[in-house]
Amino acid sequence: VKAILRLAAMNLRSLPGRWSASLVLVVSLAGVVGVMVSVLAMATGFQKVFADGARPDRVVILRSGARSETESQITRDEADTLMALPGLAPAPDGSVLASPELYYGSALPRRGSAGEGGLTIRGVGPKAFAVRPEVRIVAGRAFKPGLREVIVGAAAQRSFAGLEPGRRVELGNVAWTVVGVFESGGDLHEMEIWADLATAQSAYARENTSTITARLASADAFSVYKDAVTSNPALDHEVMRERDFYALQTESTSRVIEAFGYTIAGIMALGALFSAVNTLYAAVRARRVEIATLRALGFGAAPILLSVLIEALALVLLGACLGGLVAYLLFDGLSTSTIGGDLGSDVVFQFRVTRGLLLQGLLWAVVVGLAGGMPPALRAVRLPVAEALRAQK
Amino acid sequence: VFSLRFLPLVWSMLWRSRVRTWLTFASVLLAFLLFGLLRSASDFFQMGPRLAGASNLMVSSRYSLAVQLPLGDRDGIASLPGVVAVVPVVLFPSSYQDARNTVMVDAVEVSDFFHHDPRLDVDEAALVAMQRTRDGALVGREVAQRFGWKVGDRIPLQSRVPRKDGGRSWEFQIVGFWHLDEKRVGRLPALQTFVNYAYLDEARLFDRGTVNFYIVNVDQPTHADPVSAAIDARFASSAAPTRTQSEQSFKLSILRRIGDVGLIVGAILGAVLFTLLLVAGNTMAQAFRERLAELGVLKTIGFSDGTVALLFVAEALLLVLAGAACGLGLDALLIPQLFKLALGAAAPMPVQTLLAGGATALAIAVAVALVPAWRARRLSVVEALAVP
Repeated sequence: VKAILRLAAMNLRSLPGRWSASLVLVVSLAGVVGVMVSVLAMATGFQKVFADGARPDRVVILRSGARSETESQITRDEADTLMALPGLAPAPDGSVLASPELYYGSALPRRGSAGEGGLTIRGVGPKAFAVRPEVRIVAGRAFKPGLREVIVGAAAQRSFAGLEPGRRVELGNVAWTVVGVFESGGDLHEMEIWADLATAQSAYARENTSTITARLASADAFSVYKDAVTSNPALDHEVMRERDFYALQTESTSRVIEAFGYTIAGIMALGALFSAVNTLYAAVRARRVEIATLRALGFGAAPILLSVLIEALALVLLGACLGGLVAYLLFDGLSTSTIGGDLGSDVVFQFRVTRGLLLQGLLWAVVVGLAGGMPPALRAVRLPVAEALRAQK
Repeated sequence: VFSLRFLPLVWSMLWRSRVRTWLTFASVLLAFLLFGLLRSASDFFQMGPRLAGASNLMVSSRYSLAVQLPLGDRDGIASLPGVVAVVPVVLFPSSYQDARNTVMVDAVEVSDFFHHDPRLDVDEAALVAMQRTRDGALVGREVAQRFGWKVGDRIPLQSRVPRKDGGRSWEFQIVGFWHLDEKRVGRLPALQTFVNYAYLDEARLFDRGTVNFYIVNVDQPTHADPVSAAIDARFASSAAPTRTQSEQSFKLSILRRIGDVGLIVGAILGAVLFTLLLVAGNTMAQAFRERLAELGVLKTIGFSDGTVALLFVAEALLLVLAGAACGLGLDALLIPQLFKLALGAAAPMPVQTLLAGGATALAIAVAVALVPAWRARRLSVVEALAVP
């Protein structure tokens, strides 16, 4: 083992002498890992902004067949029936913790840049704050029912101009007064504007609501409630755990991003594999006299083989770390946005370069290094000693 | 200075190190395979705005694409000077048999829509049949091929839009097929299915009497701007103010909101091509070092400096162009299948992808040959032959 280590160390010290070929391998790996990590960081960040707010004891109720809030409509009678079924958490006033909500799209000028961005106006029922205890008013106060007042999410306030408390803002042809700012732990609702449900319904001439968000009596009460909804012949509605509802919103987009990232990285990894073979063949060629001398001195095949593989691993891991570092420095936390499934709102999210993604990059590098290092390593072992030494002269 | 009779020499120089040549060739091939895939995706993505009709305007809610406009606006728009036709559009995403078999259905005033869009080809008889058949469907040729639909078939579609009775299964009768005019837009699959707006609007449970947007056809492209302004002014103080854009800027604004695909693709291709430059450059540099003595001999027997330099350029061109041709050729075979997987119908690799790929390959070949060619040119015979 000591011999192997010493040999490997000696070999690595001679690397700078072969820098140009080695550099190619390092850069190839940096490219593979950098591209893979950055693209997947986009998918991770996109899923995270949805998944962050999900609670196991919360459900979203939509009309069957609707895949997003805009596509769903629930009439007042249906809403009353849905909120009377067993399984929902009771409220202190004898009703249940459920908030029928109206989803409405609008656009506002973006702060700092030209153009408008889409955002959601959510008319929320009186129990909305009990249904979502993570929502806190951080400036101003809550809206008063009956008045055209809204509270704005902290992220929306940062992204759009003119949303400070006290300002009047025109949303979809209706003038509202901003009375407060809320936070909800960084989830998607922070990009929204909230108003009282009945006020929003009359302002936008809507009789129906879009969805109902409700708290279950407990996380286990899901099947009780779902069964009650599906077995009621008057209803054609779907109950989804919040997490599943959000997954439905993200699945097609993240699937596209992931397929894209893995395809590109896969092809690039194959290219890097060829680089690895090429670089290490050159390395073995450059070292052939040294290798033959070692063999002549009585070193076995294993230390020679390993010294080549260790060189391969050192180079690929250096490249992978470089690629991961560049991806992290350039992209981690970088804010970007994409269009929501309803075409109305924009989803703002951050690239997330997670430890898992970086480890995955290193793993790919190790596979490329071992696979690409093996043929040259075997060549090194099989090198005819006498011939190699004679070639020296 | 350089004639084709040197080609055998270049060829044998190329095969001096078999393994290295094959590996470099494979790297070039993979890099251009990626180039073709990524550029096709982004070219295809940007095809909508590129092929937009110059006389078409899109009228949507000033506030959001998720907000409908009243059907009543139609007459108001039609009365404005310069307006030739106003087509109401409702998006009606559906699926056939399996939720994964997406069918893009648009409910429109079918005859107005087809008569004012020269990019679409359809038999006049089909349009007449469409007007006679309330629940008729005019199906894109490639969609019909995919599902094996024939004229007269009644097809059940699952939609997210509920009917008046609450059900979401809609049945349409196929009255004909349409396809895209190849001379105007190139070979692209027709993926949409059109149904009658009047039928759909009457039969749906919610949002009756509204549209997602209007397509407005103006009498000449130069009138697009004034007509847009006139439409928006007409509804500025109504309950539903409008935003009118050319078809091109409407599509561009949606693409821009989806994300900067061009930038992402550009960044990835930048990384790929930079790596390729290093790989191929390294190969050429190694080739130069190994060949010093030979170059000395060539110069001694009378090869001019320029010819020796060009030998390297020719070698790089041969290696890179062959790799690029194979990579892009593989793309030409693969991409139609990928489109089929993604869209349900094949579409050929865009021609501009091929052109961009060829130009990039040339640039890379010249770039990697530059240093060794220059050094070969400057090499003196004494110096070259002095190498042990």
